[in-house]
Amino acid sequence: MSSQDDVAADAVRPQPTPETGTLRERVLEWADSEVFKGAISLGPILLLLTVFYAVPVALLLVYSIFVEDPFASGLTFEHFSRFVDVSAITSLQFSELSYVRLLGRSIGIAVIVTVLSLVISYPITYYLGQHAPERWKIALVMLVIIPFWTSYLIRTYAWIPILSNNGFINSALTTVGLPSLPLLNNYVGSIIGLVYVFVPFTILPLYASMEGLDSSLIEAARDLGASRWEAFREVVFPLTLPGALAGGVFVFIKTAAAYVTPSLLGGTSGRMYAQVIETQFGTAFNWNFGAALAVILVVVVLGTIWIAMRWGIDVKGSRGLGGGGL
Amino acid sequence: MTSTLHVDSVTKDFGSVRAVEDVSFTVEQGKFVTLLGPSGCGKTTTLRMIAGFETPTEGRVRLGDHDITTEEPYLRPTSMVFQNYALFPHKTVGENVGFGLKMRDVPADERSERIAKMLELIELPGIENRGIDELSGGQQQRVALARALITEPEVLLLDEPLGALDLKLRKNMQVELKNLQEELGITFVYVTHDQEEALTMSDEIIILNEGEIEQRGTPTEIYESPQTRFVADFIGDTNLLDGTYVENGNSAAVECGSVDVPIDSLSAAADGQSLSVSIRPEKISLGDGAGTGTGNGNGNETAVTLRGEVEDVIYQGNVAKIHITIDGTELVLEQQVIDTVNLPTPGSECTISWDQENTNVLTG
Repeated sequence: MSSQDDVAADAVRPQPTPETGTLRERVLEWADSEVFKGAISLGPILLLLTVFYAVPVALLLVYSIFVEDPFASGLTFEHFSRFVDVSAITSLQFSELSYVRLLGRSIGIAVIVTVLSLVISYPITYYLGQHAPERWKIALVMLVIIPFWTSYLIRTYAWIPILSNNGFINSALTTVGLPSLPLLNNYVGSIIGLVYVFVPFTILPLYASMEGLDSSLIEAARDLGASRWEAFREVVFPLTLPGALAGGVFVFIKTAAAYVTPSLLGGTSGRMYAQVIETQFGTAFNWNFGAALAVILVVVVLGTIWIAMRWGIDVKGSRGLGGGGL
Repeated sequence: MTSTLHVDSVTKDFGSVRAVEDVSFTVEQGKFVTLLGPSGCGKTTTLRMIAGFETPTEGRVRLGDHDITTEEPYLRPTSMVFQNYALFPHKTVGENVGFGLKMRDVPADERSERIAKMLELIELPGIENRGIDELSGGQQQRVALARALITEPEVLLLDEPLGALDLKLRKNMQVELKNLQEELGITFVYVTHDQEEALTMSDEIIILNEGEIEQRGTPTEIYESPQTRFVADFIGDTNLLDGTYVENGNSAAVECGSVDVPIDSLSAAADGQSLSVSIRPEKISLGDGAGTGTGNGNGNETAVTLRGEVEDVIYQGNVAKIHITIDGTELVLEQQVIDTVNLPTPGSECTISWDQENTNVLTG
């Protein structure tokens, strides 16, 4: 039977109910459908994400592959090849690093900050989740949240009198006859500032995991011959890994793209990748190259997270990454 | 090596709350001892002090000649089976069972061999690679047991291990646990609030109430001769009558309202002292009320015989609970139902009787 015959046959056959019902009935029926309900509930957030997230990211991609104005100039790969050119130096003012090495250093700092944040969060959340008296828990968790009530910028500035050459720490050190340490205007300053700002973001999801961890599992491990460290390695760590990964991934993404903290505390050696992106958009007005740098950052960060997730699944073993904070 | 577990005058305070007060007992190797009591009586705290999860405020815990009061849990030759099993959810059955061996650096080959043997012992062979969430409650319970036993502990501590199982499975496991314990010859210290479970499995029962030992003894001693009001009430059903001790020449009785319960004269009690007596419902037998009441039918001259009225008959299948009032004092007796026709009718006159040696005078 040909398609024309089909159409002809349809025209003769009595139509199914939706076609024969009144307009009102058809509207009501459609309003009751799963598609409509889904669109109503997910629609606003999808619209928001599309306008404020997907469109800008797509614009970045578009800018990065045109010589100048998108669609008005030629397609090119020159911005990406400029990134990998090790002879090109990143800054108009300070740094002598190539773009690749600067990105490498930023990722390195992000890894260090993430690991330090987790190392600091583990004992705190272990205490909060497993040992803190019930009536103190909320107050103690509030202590973690309270710093958010003050501006991020002010809290970061506050580190300058603490870390500077004649700041609190160094005057304390020299008073007791120890040499002073270079803590400000280098990557140490960046790392300290970033860990300070982001530690709550690892504490909160890790606390959720710790709180949910049945303490009799730790006791069982101890009872079966595990030392404190072995009980942590065999039971606490794998079972709280979802929380650690949730917090760690967030901190990693935020620090890999950190701008304010390294600008204030990092000086030359603490300079990070996002500062160069800003230079391209702000000072150099090379939006195309800036966009290419941003696209590269997104790809590298996503790749690193993917590797971390694979590792997480390996550590947790055959039982998979179930439950917890993720 | 024989090592007796000694708990010497152990006291435990949590802040201002005293959970356990001056508890002492010994458990010979290979015995099955149950700590029995209502929730909050200190039984779990006592068990946790033996395991090393709590340190006694006062007193010592010894195993043989070895003082383990402050020893870390992982250095003690004790193993614990937890109430919720505490199986590691991220590890397979094999990894769970072999955990204790791994911590003792037993080589992998030997480990898997012993895991396989253990799983055979608990009649779940070949499930090494299963996940914990793939097991039923009963299977998880067995795996928890295997995990605790694989390190060959001298003392196995069990904290209400059957509490989460349904009744039928629980009854089966009670028998299996007891058989396993006899087979392995390991000392079991078992915590439960279920008196029937305690009576079924234990060589000896220690009854705890508000942190102190009320009574210890074999299941028969505990059931047949409770010494305190608490024990009589907590274990099984009983008729508890409170009254005063009256001595009259060479006979004595406890006057409980309208009923005088004759007892042997007590050297320790003074005239007019408050006392309670306990008579188990199944020890009381029922006469027809017209007769003279010849005790429990064996003509025993120490039989106690009373006249009363049948108040209520509660049929429970194999037994019937018959409520009798004697001038306002109510007693319950339990009768095997052999023929439903023979059950008394409420309102009818009757005599009840029991052997005087089944009257338990409660001193505490």
